[in-house]
Amino acid sequence: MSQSSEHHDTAGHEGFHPHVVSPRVLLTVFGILLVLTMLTVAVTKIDLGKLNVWIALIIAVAKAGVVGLYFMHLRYDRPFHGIILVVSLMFVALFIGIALMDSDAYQPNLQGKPAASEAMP
Amino acid sequence: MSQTSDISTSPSNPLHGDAGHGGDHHVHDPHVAHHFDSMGQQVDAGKLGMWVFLATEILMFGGLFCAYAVYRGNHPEVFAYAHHYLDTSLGALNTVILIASSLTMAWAVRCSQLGKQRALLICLVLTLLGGFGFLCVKTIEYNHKAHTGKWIGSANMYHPKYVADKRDEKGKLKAPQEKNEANDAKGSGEAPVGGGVTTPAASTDGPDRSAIAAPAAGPAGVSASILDEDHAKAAHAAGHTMTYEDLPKAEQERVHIFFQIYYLMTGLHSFHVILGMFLIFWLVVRAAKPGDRKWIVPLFPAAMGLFLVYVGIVTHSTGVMISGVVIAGLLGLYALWRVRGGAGESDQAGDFGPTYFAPVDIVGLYWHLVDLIWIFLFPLLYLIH
Repeated sequence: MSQSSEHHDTAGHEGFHPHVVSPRVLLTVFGILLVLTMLTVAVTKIDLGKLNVWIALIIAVAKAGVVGLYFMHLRYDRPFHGIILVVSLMFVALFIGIALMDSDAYQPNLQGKPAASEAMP
Repeated sequence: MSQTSDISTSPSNPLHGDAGHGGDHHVHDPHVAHHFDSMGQQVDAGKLGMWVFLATEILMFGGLFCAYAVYRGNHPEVFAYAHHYLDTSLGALNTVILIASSLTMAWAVRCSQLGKQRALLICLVLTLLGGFGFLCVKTIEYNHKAHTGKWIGSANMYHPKYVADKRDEKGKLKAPQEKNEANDAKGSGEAPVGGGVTTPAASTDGPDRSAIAAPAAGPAGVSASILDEDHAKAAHAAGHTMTYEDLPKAEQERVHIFFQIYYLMTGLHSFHVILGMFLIFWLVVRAAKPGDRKWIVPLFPAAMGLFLVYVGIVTHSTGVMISGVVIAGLLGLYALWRVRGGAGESDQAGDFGPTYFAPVDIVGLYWHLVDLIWIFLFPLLYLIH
């Protein structure tokens, strides 16, 4: 992207060549997001048992990935910004995962009423 | 990838190394702060800071997603039941609105990079309208729930209705055994007599309240043990045909916990939308020609006033409607007065151009994050199978 350097001649801007996303890419991403939104609504109407949640989440992750890569410029950005994003998501996954494991671990204690009243000190 | 290496090497650029502080490029470009060597370095630092902030935003929403996951893991049936009260088509409409406003925001960044002043302004205004559209749809949804008994207050412990009872029950809430006593008594068909509860109103409310208090306070799974099994079975047998009004009180309050998670997640998200709209309005003002700013500045509060009028109409609240009319009217008059006062002689361009577009870029990142969060909220809340 060299056109930005031709627009100015002041010092302090050499080495500053921001990436400009083309309209074609922007519109393609918009189309993909709309299609995926329709897909995630449509797939709810089919009964796949537990798979439904996972399909919905996979579609959401795909949409988030496209938004992040193109709308948020991650694809053209320094990789470190992407690392920050991925690390924060990993911590969220860790948080939710361990909370769910904890919640599951208590389930046997909570199945019947008598057991529950004994379990509660 | 080429610009990455350019940016990282620019501080060691001989031009800058010799110039040091007070170099002449400071005079040429007022947009580069004096503690940065180059625009590339400044933009990079700003973006890094924004990404760290976005990470904290994700972690904050992570807490709410965690509450969602734990409660859904323990009560999948409550989620499957309660989500029928969310309108999927309105949720999908809001998804499309947010995606479209993300597109216009990304386009605004492009326009500012290329120095297209007019297109930048149009894109920013369209993005702002997307924010208003989202809030308008959200108002319809919230209002519908408020009018069908699924609003935050009525089953909430902090509702004024419960404050007096709560004081009476303090001892009871502290001791979980008594909750079980109350439940056992109810199960055997007798009114609870112990537990320091003497008023008849409190004794009938008691077991139900303990059923909601438990999931809110302790591990959510506790409520499974306390819930009356006959109620649970009745709800299961009836399936989704049972309307919310026909549910036993304990079940209604369990459904309320779904709605409280829903309100917390969508409410915090809507708050972010509103914040983003203020930021985009700030961009609109800066992107406009200085001569035009005097009538653009009152425009956003006036639009907020019109939005309040809309909220007032939807919720049938005359007070909100009147305050909206007052705000919109006063600011409209103020704008007219200002425009009449001085002739717009300044014909300069807006603040943003190929050499300076970081604010557009960074507010854009924020707006896209709001979109990202909604992308997850929509299937998780509206599309439960």
